[in-house]
Amino acid sequence: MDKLKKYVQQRTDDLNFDEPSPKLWGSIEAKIHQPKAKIIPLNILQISKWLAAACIIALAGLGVKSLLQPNNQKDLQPIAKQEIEVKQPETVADKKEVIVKTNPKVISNKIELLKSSQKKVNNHFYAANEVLKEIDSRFVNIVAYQKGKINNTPLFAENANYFASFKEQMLLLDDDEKTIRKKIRTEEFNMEFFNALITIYQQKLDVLKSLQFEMNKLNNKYKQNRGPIDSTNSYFINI
Amino acid sequence: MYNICTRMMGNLADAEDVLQEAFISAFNNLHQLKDYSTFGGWLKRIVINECLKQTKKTVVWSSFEDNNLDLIDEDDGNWESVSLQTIHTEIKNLPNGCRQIFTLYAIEDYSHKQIASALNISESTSKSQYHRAKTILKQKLSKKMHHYG
Repeated sequence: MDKLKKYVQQRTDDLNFDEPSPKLWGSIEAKIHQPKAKIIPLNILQISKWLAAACIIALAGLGVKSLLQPNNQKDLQPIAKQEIEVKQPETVADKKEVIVKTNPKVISNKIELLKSSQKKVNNHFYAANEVLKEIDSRFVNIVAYQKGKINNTPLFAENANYFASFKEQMLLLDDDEKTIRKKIRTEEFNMEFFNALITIYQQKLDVLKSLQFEMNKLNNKYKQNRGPIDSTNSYFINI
Repeated sequence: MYNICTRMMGNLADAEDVLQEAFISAFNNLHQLKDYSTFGGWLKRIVINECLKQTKKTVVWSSFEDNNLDLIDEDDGNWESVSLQTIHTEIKNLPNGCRQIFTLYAIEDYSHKQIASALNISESTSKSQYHRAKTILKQKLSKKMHHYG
């Protein structure tokens, strides 16, 4: 052990000359008692799948229930009876003409019934979509955070083109993401679209992780094997 | 704990931030501590890890002094003649990078292997940075050292 280390090691406790400010303990206490932000774990895909399955089962049950409820049956029977009045043809000419009369009030009741059940269906989808939108935005934030980390890591070896393949992969995944988002906006909601979106986020995170690994490997290799690092020659990739 | 932070970070403001984060982390993970008699060492590890996390964010390691490792370490300084407060102050004034390595090796008794693993650097970088820190300290404190004979 060298003399300096030996000297310092023997007197470690005597090296404590600094005192923290009194405000420090107050701010620690304040942060400890702060309510914790909710953190959604990354296995949200599993949860979202179960949630989607639960919503679909609930909707199916609701649909079946709305169709099979006795009250509806009661309403339907009179409607069925009242709805159609067939005029018995008196002459041959009349036989050609069959008039089905409908009771306007009954029809409007039927329409209201359909609208209310449809509203319930839509409400369930909307509620499911709110949760899925939250999951979506969380994934977007995670991908943006990882990108930020990579964009702020200085590189000392190779040039930007060395990582071109990673950029190309990210661009392709961006295009796929845009396509699916367009479908979600324009077409009827489909869980397959959402699952595809989540898969794209996972692929993006894998690409970013591999890129970070390569960057760190190159930087460490450069530092160990080469001469002094010239910070003016460092660069940043923009992904 | 605070002085570990001031030596690792080099200034009081950053040291307070790091200490705050470390204490909050310790509070949130207190349930993981099985043996309360080891609380001091456990807390110290959390504080040092928090310092290392900040160090890894801010320091870019230069290996330009790796070639100087073959120099004989002329450790003939009479360190006892320098006050501990002066040594403590000059440690905090060391350049970023070698300061952390000096603190970990000389004061916290980490091996160069442990330092290299913690900071994702090579052992030779750790050794050269420690050598650099010692050289700078010796230059700064040489006026205050009394050489015998």
